Amino acid sequence: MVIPRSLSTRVLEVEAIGRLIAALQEDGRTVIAPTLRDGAITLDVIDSFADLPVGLTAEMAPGRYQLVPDPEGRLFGATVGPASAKRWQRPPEVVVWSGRKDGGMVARVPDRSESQLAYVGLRGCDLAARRVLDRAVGARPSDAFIVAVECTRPGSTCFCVSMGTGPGVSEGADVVITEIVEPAHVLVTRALTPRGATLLARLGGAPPKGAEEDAAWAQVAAAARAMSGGIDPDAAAAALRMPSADGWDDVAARCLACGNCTMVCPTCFCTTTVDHTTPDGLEATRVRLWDSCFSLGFTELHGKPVRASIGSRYRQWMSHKLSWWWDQFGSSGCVGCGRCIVWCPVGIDIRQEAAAAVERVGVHAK
Amino acid sequence: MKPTLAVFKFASCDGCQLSILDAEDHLLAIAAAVDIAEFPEATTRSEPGPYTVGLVEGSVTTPHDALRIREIRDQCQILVTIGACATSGGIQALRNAADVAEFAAQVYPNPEYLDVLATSTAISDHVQVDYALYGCPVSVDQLVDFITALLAGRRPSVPDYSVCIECKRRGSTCVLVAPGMPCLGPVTRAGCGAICPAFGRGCYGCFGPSSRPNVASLAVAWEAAGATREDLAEALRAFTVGAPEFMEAARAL
Repeated sequence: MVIPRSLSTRVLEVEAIGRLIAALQEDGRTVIAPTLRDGAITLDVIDSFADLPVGLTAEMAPGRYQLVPDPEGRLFGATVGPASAKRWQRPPEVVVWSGRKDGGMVARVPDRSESQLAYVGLRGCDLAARRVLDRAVGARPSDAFIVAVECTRPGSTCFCVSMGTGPGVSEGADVVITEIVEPAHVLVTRALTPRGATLLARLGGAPPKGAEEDAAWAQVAAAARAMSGGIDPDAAAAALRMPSADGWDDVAARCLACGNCTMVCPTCFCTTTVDHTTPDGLEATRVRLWDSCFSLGFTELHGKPVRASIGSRYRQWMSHKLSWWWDQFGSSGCVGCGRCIVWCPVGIDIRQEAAAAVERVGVHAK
Repeated sequence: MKPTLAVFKFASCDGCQLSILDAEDHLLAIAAAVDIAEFPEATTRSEPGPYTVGLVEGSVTTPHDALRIREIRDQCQILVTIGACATSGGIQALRNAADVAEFAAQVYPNPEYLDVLATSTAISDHVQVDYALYGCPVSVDQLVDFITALLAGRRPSVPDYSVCIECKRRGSTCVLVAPGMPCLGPVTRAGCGAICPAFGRGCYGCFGPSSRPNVASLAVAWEAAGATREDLAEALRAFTVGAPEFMEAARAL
């Protein structure tokens, strides 16, 4: 993995994140960053440095999430939480238009508000997901300011390396931070865009002395090596386009068809549309809501579900994500963040299900 | 002429009727749009049918009610069941797997005066139902939205998916995964807005089964959260115990 080094690399003390947040707010941006919410470290709006989950991290396993102390006291100790940038990029509930009947109908189409946001702490997988999601829904990249963080301690459910999306970051962000604790607890920070360089210039900091930058590279590289397994994208893409519908009973017995995987997936984009009217019939509002291919109602065509069994719905989801997505949008729909694995209440692991599909049809990568 | 709306009560606690009154802000607008011909919780007024829309609360527990629902069906152009009792038999359907005479003997000094059926059943077990709104009680927002949909002539939106969808839209952390708490959300129909998980509690299943729920697999997740299969069976034997999916799943656990 070759990542171009930036000329603007600076070493910042940990507290500089407070100034970074303040600088983004001075520019009129709302800052979204990892924060402790409802017993999980997840992305949400923060006010200041104090909202960061300092010294806290999370242990993740299929269907399990547990907060644990981070003895190293890092700011960005936890990898990815249940919420992804999708929550703002393609919000769960959006008024598409609304209107009043009297005096001619006036439709109000809401603005895309993400451009006034700044994300702090998105990971390589998150950045890849933003590109994949924009492409899938035909949206232009937003003007959101992005401060990415490279992962040095991936979770057991992470598999970005196999999907080619991390743990290092080389594009899709304005500023990239690598938080290291040895030889000192500092933030090795570089800009990828001119506005990122402008922001960094406002924060001060020292040029790297060499040791910090080397430590940052070494830790990201070690993180990549630590992530074994994952998904073989080519083999999975080939296996999942085989016409056979056999072999899905095992996962169907476990799958709740609850839709949690699709809700936490940073690229799943399916929605439903509902209308609301006032009792006097004068006002109407059309709302777009997150929906899921796992619900029976979602599969209804001409009034009947076309994917009645849970196995057929799981197959549809996984084969779209890992195979047909390539034909449709030119990439995999999976970025290897592992959210679907952690937040599946019964811990279904897409890595294992993909391997099982590959095994069934005997397709192996060259 | 304005459409007529009639509300009927069967075996129930009246909570769903109260939910209609809870519509507060919308109540006057709805009352202006429809002619409320019958609504026992709100008024003594009782106009004869036929009615455009009949909202039925409660389950069928007596021979008399089994006849009365047929008469009501004949009088209503659109018949809508509201709440867990009307859609699945309610908490009183616990008797369906027990001996109602034994229950009656424990509660009433003179049970011989009672004329009750051995079972508490959903309205749809007796007559054709056009729409169903679930919940114990029904969601006020869903009820208002349903009535306005009928008034506007659009298709009402009643979700069949799980509570998890609403929970995730709301941005709540999954209580089943972190910290690991029993929750019926993955097998329960959405509609409440995922209130309980938003306050750090597991779902109680008030809206009954989602479409084709996989309760057997949920039992594994409950065991991982420190609950037993019997705990899950007990949780399913609640407000919507009469729903076949929950009744049979509880029996199989």
